[in-house]
Amino acid sequence: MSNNNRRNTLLTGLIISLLLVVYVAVQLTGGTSKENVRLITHNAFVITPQLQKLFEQQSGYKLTLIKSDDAGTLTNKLILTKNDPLADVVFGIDNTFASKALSAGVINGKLTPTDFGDVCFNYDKQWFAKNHVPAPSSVNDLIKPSYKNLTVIENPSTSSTGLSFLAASIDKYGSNGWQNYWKSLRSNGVLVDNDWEKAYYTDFSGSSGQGKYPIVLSYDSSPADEVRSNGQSQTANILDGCFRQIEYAAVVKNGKNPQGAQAFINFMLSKPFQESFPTQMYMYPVDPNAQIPSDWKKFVSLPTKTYGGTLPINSMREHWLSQWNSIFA
Amino acid sequence: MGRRVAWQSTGIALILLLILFYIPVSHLFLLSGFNFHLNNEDVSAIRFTLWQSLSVAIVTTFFGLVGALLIRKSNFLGSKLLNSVLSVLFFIPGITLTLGFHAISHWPIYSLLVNNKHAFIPVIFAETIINLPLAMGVIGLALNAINSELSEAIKLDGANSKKEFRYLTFPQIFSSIRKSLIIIFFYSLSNLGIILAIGNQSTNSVESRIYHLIQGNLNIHEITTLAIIQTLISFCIYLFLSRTNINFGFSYSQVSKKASTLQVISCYLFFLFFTLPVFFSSLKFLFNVIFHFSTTIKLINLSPQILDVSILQALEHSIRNAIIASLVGIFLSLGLGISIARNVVRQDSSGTPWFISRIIEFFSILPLTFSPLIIGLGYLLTFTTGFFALRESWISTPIAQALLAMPLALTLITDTWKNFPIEYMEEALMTGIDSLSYFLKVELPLLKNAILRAASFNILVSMADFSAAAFLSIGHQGVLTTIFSQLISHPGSGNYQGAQLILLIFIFISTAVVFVFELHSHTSE
Repeated sequence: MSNNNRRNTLLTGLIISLLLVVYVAVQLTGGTSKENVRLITHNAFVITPQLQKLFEQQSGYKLTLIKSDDAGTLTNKLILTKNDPLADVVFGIDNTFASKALSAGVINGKLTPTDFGDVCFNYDKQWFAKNHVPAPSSVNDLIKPSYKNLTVIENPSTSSTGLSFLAASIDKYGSNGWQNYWKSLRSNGVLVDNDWEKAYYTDFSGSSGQGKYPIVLSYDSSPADEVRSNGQSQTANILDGCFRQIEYAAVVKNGKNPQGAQAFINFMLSKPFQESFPTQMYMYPVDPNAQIPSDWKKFVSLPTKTYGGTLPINSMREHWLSQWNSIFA
Repeated sequence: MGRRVAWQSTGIALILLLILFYIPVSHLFLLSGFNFHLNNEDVSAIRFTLWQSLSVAIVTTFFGLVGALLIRKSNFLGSKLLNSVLSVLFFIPGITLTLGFHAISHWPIYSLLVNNKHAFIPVIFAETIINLPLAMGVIGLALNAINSELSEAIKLDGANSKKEFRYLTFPQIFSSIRKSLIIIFFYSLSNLGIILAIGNQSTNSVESRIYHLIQGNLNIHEITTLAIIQTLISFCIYLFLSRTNINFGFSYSQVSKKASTLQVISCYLFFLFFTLPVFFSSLKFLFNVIFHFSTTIKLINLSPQILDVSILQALEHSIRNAIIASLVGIFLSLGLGISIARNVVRQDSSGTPWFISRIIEFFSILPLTFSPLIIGLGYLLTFTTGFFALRESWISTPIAQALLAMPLALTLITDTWKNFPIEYMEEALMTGIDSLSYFLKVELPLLKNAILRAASFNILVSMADFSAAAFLSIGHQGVLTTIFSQLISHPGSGNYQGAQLILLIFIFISTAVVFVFELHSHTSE
């Protein structure tokens, strides 16, 4: 063999070894067995090691997590892979994507509600006290001149929180009135950010970021996380115009382990897991007997009426967003 | 026979690329049934992407030129550190700029840039900050290559600094300015983190549009059409790029010329202007860490509610994962890079038609133009069960990261290889040294510098990556960026401080890696 050939053989060997390394790594780290329950969920899902151990001990199954951005992405991943699904059980499809998941045929049986939370406006109590402006009590206040340039929201095209409020506003003001509300909101200097992080941490004055806007579109549970050293929360909710987000768990159609999937759904409905929802995922448990943290009892109020939860969000999304974009273009 | 084996090694590398990139991506296109569709929002996203990338390329290259002239050409106390810290900017995840921008948003000048009601201004400023080290790196290398004797000679002929720049420096660095424009245009095309973190409804790029389509209505026709347009734009840019070598480095070449006081002040002002938006909030937090040490220890050990583990444990996991990802990435990049680079170089002397090498080079560059989201979607559809169940393995994340970093690693190695004097080989062959020994004893040591740069690039790209890690992650495989994202997307000062702490540690690690690698790379010169 010539020298050139030896040199090239060395490189060929390197490439073949690469293929082998990838193959071995895949075999060592991937794959599933009947004892595995593969859970696909969004990035906000948290299960403590203790709870995971408890599930694995009680059920005899090993839990594998597949985290996937948000509710929309995980629903779409399931739709894309419906012939050979990448999970046995799904958690995190919410009421804005539920109809899409059901109509696409990716769910085996029904969607089981596990937890809920409300998208509501929060305001900075300190800011309103300091500036001698009465705190807003309704979303109608946000279009009044005295609240000009005080509100920051999220873009409904890019944020699920923003889309939730758009749906709530359509429900509250009706199909003929919601556009006028948004036009007034725009005229009143509402700031639209792409995502919740920027709105809450950069632009909202009541968070750790200490921005300039004292009203933000967030969640009803957020005030419980803004408790200061005096034992009081710096923020409070506007209990009007809220959207109730309900999250579901379900057995994935064509999954390899439907029994394991159902066992995990049952575990999610058990008291230990239900009680972890507020502390781990900032959501209310569906089980009314589950304990919620004392800060939640003290600083979080649930709205008596919510809006938009029953609208056909999935089918109307593009139409509404197009109309909303024409207002904010 | 020799040529046949050479083609075999390149062929195997291309097959690997085919399996890991082209088949998954093609799978997605097949799913669309080649039924392409665009609406008004897509068109405006394409328009925004084009002019935004162009603006970023021009602005960044201008400041890159200024930075390279100031910092790369001056010798003063701390110049090396300044250079290394500036290099870190390139590896800062876009999403973290939210923290930094807020801290300086009310300062003079900055308020106009980061608090502007026209969101494209903060977006362009953010992208300029992130891409500045790349522009400085590309132009800096060309500056370092200018013959100092020529410079002295032109001065002896009575040329002042302006004339020296116009007649000597500028012609010598012109091609690197062009390279900088093109490379930054490339990177800006597929930027996502900054648009998500800084932008608003008026700054919707092709990449962010694809992201939102994946989150929302999953219109495959729109997604594939946008991906094709993104690639076509990149292809056009590549036609300009293909005639030039792409090379860059973060290393600071020691120059003998002592900087004047004015130059030193200018260097520090330049440095502060571009680094404060990123580092100020972290520095402020660092002081808090020092003066409230016990609180910080509590913060580190306290398990934030939204994480499965404490911050310390989460950091250990994420660093471990980043290292594993980086090692796999380096292995893949270098394996593919060396093989393809050898063939590209080989055509110059082997009579292989030039266009074949260009096609090979193009196909190896193409992954750079695709978003991790498109690769991720392809993986979901393709690697299901059986032989390569990649989507069910954590290794899919480092592979995707490796594919994203590979084209630049490849160009770094190829361009260095092309520049080897042919006399080396002729002299070596005359001494009777065999080809393998020549490769191991001559070529490999000469490539060491480029390999180290490529390695450092791979490590830091893996560490800064968010899209691939978030889209392809499985099980408890969180990396620094995904844990940061989890913390910053929840309310409460504990989560906010946790995010700051992770950013601070991230900055330290990136700085250390850049500094150590460049120190080693410089020594090897």
